[in-house]
Amino acid sequence: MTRLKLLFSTFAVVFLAELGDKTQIASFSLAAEGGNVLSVVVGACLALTAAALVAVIAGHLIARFVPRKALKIVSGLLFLATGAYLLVSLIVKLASA
Amino acid sequence: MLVFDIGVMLTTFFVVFAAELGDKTQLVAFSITSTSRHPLVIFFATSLALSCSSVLAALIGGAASRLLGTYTSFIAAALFFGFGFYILFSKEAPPVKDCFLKTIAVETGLLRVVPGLFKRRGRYDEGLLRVLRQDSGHALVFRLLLKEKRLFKDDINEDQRLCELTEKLRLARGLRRLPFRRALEEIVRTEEAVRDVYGHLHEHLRLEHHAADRLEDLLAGLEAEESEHVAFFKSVRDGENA
Repeated sequence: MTRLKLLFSTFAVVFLAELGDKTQIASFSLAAEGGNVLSVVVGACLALTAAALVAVIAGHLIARFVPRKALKIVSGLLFLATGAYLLVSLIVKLASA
Repeated sequence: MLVFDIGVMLTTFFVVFAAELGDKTQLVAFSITSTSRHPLVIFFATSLALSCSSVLAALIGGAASRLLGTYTSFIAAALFFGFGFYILFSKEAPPVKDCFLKTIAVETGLLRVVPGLFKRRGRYDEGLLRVLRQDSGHALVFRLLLKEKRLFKDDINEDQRLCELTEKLRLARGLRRLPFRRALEEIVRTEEAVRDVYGHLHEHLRLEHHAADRLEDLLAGLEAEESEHVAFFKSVRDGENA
């Protein structure tokens, strides 16, 4: 994938997957209690950036030791499993609502 | 409303960081990075997406963002499936091929730009001609190497170092219009990058393929010539700076 495509597709998948997820709820409840959205947003953004950094460094490091083919299979399956998980939890949520 | 409270910020940081560890997004970032060669791009995209989604959530509030999340997670699920199948079934050019193509591009790029730069400066001499002649030879060699299909299946394709070195193989944009000294810096950097690639390929062939390999000698020759080029451009640069 070219860099730009990679940038957009990663952005899209992460952005959509995270909307309405537990992180937002946590940051929202903190915002309501503290009464200042700015510190919450800054704290949340820093935390998410740190979490992303950890993941990216770990992914980059493991690529040195594990063959690419194995990584491709595992990541592909991981994506499919996450997709299935999202779909199932969506159906459960809609059914219970 | 826009008060900044370091305590609230730190609390948010630790709560969100803890909640995010091992979360699906982190797995996404982890698995894309491990199968791609652009960790910085993925880091940037992931943290930007996470920041945007949390800013949005903080602005529109819990219930609304959950409602929005219900609809968007359907698209997200589709994207996850798409990504999964893409990663599983995509066929990419082997890194060696990428490396060879970039080498050809850089060497021919230098041939296009360097003569003009040196002519304008009145330094178009025998030494430069020699370098250019060799560089055009290198581009040709790599065109021929593209036909050596066995290299595309070689275990050098699993080599992270080769990818890192390939990343450095690019010509500065607008090199033609740079002031002579700045251009020289860039040319030295580029020639060094090319030399490192040749050196790495040579080293790999020497260590991994014990049988005498004509490619090994060829690459050793290329590396030596490229080192001369670096020395040549450095001496021109030092002459300019003196």
